[in-house]
Amino acid sequence: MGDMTTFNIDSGYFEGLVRGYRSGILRRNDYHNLVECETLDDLKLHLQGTDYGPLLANDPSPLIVQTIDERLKERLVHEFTHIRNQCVQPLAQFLDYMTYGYMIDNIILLITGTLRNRPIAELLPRCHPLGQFDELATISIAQSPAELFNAVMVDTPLAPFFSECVQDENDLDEMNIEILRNKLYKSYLEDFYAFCKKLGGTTADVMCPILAFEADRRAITITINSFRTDLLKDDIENLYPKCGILFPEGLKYLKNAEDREEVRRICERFGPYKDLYNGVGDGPNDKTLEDKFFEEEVKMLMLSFEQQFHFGVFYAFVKLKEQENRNIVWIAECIAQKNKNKIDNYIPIF
Amino acid sequence: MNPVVTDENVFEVLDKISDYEQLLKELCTIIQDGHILLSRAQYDLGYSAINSTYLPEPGVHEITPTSLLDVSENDRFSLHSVKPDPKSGVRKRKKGGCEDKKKSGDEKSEEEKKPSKTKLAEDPLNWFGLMAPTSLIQAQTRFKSAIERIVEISNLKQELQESLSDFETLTKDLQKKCDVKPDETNED
Repeated sequence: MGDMTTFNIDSGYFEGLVRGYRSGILRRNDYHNLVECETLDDLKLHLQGTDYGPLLANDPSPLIVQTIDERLKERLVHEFTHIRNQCVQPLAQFLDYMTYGYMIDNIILLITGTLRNRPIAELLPRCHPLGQFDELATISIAQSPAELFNAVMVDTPLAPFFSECVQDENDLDEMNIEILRNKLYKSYLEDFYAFCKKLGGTTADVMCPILAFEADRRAITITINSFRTDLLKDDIENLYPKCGILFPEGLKYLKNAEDREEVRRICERFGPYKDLYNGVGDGPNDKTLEDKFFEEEVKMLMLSFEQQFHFGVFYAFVKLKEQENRNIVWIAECIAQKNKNKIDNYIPIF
Repeated sequence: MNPVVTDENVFEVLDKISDYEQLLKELCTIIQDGHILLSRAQYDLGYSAINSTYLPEPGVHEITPTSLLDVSENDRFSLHSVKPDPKSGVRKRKKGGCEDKKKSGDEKSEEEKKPSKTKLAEDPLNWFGLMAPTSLIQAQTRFKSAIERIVEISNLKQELQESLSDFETLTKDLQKKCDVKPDETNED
């Protein structure tokens, strides 16, 4: 794939659509206007002047931040679904792969909610619309990963990712749910990576580094968070996706790391992550590690648009729109809480 | 004994009022920071990962407090943290599946009759999963220090009330003495 002579036959129109959507992403001027707003109604007014147009027109005042988040998500889902409904293989399968991550999050949300005795009617609206599938509402009947697989997941697209978890007869308590989430995501990421590699061409050149970065991000985050748990080193290692730059040596070092300083030293040994910790700290003007990851991700996603005739632009568009949604919701939260000290802590895309 | 209202009494009350206002401002700032950090955690993970779905339900879940408040004899509050049970840490648990299956029907029915509460992880951070972002951990720290401030403010408020009460008593006694004195001079 990625051949300039054949790509446009099936996917040229969709690439054009995505590039059109991309041009509607907010610029720095737009963010400056949003940051100056005093109320959420001002924010709504300024958003009308952007590509969003009358996004919030039907929502009466007073607005709440959650409404803004829901509308932004609906817009993204609408644009994604518009492309997905019309495209053919292999782009259709590529777009389906993009939705599997949201499906995993929805499954975990439902299982956790059931564990907390929440009714299913309360939980289903909280699920991400991109991760909806027919069997979602029946998740709550499962008591263990094996039961979850045999009763519910076996006929869904996520069935191949359950291979590592299906042997697990442990009850779905909160820790095992978290382990299930990370194992599923690991399998999904590795499978997505293999699929992109198989597609080859520019798609593989663009997508494989992005997915490798995602894998390494998860490995580093799991390691840092594992310091406050009693998880065994072997259990932690089983959660690391193996499609990143850190595999295999970096993951071995991460597995044996004892504190955050050691994780920092390990990252500095690997070229792409050498400067990852610059500016990271606990001070008021320091960035968090999550912010640095988001910044790096945005840079990689923007670069993907510099090449043509590949599927990476679709992935990049969805992730960049998600980042934009996060930015707008963050600004809205600062306005709603009347705390503008950190309102500039968003990550601009252009 | 002649009641005397000195400058020190006045300064003591004013200092306590000033400290009280300062602590209230700090409390407001800490709670504000905590809420903005919670919003940041939602920024990092999304609304679906940080919301009320993950909170325990009273009456259904057994929630272990992380701090306890002691009240001393002179009505002063003090906070001390509860050490988590080492056996209840966040780790992968093995199910005692075989033992459960071998239980007799009578034992099972007795257990089913008792309404059992599900025990959740003691550290509330773990309710939101393994991948809790830095901002959520910072938010927890801020809210914990907010509780400490509240205890300090309560104690200071009591001291202030006691000082004000003493000051009022002294002032009234002095006023009474001043009222009595003109009568004494008239007699002279």
